[in-house]
Amino acid sequence: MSAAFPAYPAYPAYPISAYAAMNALGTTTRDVIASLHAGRSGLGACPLELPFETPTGAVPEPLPALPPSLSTWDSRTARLAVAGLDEILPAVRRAIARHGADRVAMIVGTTTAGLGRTEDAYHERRRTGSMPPDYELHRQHSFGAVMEALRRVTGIDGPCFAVSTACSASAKAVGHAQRLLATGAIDAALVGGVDALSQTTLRGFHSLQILSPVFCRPFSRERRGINIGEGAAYLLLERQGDAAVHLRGVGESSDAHHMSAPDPTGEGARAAMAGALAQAGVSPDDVDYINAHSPGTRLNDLSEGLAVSSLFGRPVPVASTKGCTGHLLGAGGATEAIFSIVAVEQGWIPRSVGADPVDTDLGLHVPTARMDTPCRNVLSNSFAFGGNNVSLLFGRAH
Amino acid sequence: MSLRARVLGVGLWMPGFPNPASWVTGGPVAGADAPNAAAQAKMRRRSSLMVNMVTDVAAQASEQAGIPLSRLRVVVGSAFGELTTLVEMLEEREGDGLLSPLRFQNSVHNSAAGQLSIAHKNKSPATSLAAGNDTVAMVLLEAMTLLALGGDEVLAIVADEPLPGSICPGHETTPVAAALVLGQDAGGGTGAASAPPLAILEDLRQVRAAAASADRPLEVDSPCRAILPLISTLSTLGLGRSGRVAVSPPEDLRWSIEVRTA
Repeated sequence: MSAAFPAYPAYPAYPISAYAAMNALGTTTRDVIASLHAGRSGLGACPLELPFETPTGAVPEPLPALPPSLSTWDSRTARLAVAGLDEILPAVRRAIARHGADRVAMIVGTTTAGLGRTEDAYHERRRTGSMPPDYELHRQHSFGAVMEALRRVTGIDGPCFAVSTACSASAKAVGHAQRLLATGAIDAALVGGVDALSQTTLRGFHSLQILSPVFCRPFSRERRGINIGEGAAYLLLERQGDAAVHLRGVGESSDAHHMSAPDPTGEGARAAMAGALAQAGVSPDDVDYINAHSPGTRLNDLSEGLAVSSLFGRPVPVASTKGCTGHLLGAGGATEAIFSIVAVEQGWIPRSVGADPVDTDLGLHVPTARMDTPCRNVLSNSFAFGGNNVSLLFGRAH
Repeated sequence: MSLRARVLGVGLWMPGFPNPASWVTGGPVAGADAPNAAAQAKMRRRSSLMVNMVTDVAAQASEQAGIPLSRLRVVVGSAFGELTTLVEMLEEREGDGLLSPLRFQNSVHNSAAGQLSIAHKNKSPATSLAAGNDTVAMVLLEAMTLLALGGDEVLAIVADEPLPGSICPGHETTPVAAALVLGQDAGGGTGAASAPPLAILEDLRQVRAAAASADRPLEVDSPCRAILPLISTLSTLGLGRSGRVAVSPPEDLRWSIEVRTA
């Protein structure tokens, strides 16, 4: 590893006891993984009314309402967060029984929190002159509101916070949990991410001129930008366990370059990947697949491509799953962490949907068909506004 | 592994209170109605109040610690993030429906952390988190966790803008921002700190409400107000003294931390 990178302390590997994902590919983890395995895309017509065309990755309806006891916390984000929790809840409750509620943390990435609810309420304010009587900023908009709803459902009583570093948020959440486990502050952590489609997000990316009017094509020479998706994803990390796949390393860095554009040299992305490998004591030669951040912009593909090429120096398979799900923003890191875990667990690399014809100038090995091959270690990249970079390394238990 | 940190620098800004000393001595300073403009020199013009507050308190704390902002790992906590910018975008949408790209990219919760990083060419990891009324406690937890595992000093910042009346009518809050530069208990880190530590922080934990002391009634209404008793204690702690300070509001379970002289 280059001496230019900061020294990372060696951490133990932590087992992934359970995981769950809900997004445009399906409302159950089984459906999501089956669709990914088949190379299907969940992208489709945007359910929101917009003054421009763009496909989105919307979670299939109907999305269950919150239980009556949580109705004052209602927002689409909270509904996604709670519905997405269903499958992993039994494992969380077992972890609470094993360790105690105050020894389990909950750390969830989100960029929008309850933004969609606030948009609707503000629109009504313009029409009627006042915010709707049932709207409450603290319970329906704030980042803490989603966490409080989740805390009430799970019974978790340990450290509990939302991470909001834009599109790296839920990958960052995994790093926070790893550190709390390493210090002994907790014995388990429910980490995840959730974000819902919203007018502000879609119009904002449109204003940056990076939203694609057609299906996104990460790594393709025909790429035209990104599509936005929504979803929820969770992982349960524990200090010990017999899970097949472990979190082996986390690397983080800042580009210090631009708020919304990646450093064209790829230095920050490279530092994050190198950091994750260094923390785990894993050589680049032992990585069999990289789940790329690539959302479908040329700048990101160039930057991430340079970072991968310079660090690995060989054609390691690099795929983006955003052609299947859209860019899940705050839910992306956790969702793609699960895709990476599945690659190790089940021994296949998803096809990079939309990549064909691949932009060969990148010099990357981008699979346009699924590769059925054992994966010892998989890196999952998440890069964000603010130049915020995270790379997670998952591998087999030793 | 115990969580323990040395406090190397402190910064504070609220309207009328441009630094920790002004808060501790109790009287508002006339004319101190905006964050220090000198600290903004490296930042974009027309930054949000959130970014301006964060920039001011970060500069205060790093100057006292004697460690440049280019070398600190950064943890920012804010219950609501860039809320004023969000309301501006909601207004834009009601107009021609198009948003300003600059406003959108600066609306993310980690805008302050990102802009600090860019302004000071700081490539260290930075994070941005929210936990409602527990935001101060969770920022301290993350900062002290980072230090317990080694590495450079950490700039721990909490900040919240006033809630906009248009989306939260009848609930006036005060803008508050504060920063602490924290270092490893056993030294280490960059080794750049030029000032002696102000205090040691340790034993951050959840306790039943009655167990926390050093908590005087606060008239300030902000999700970040729980930082104020800690800043008061850091400034007034006598030699050889220690005390447990609440760092989240009075609820059944609340977070508190032990503060003692270095």
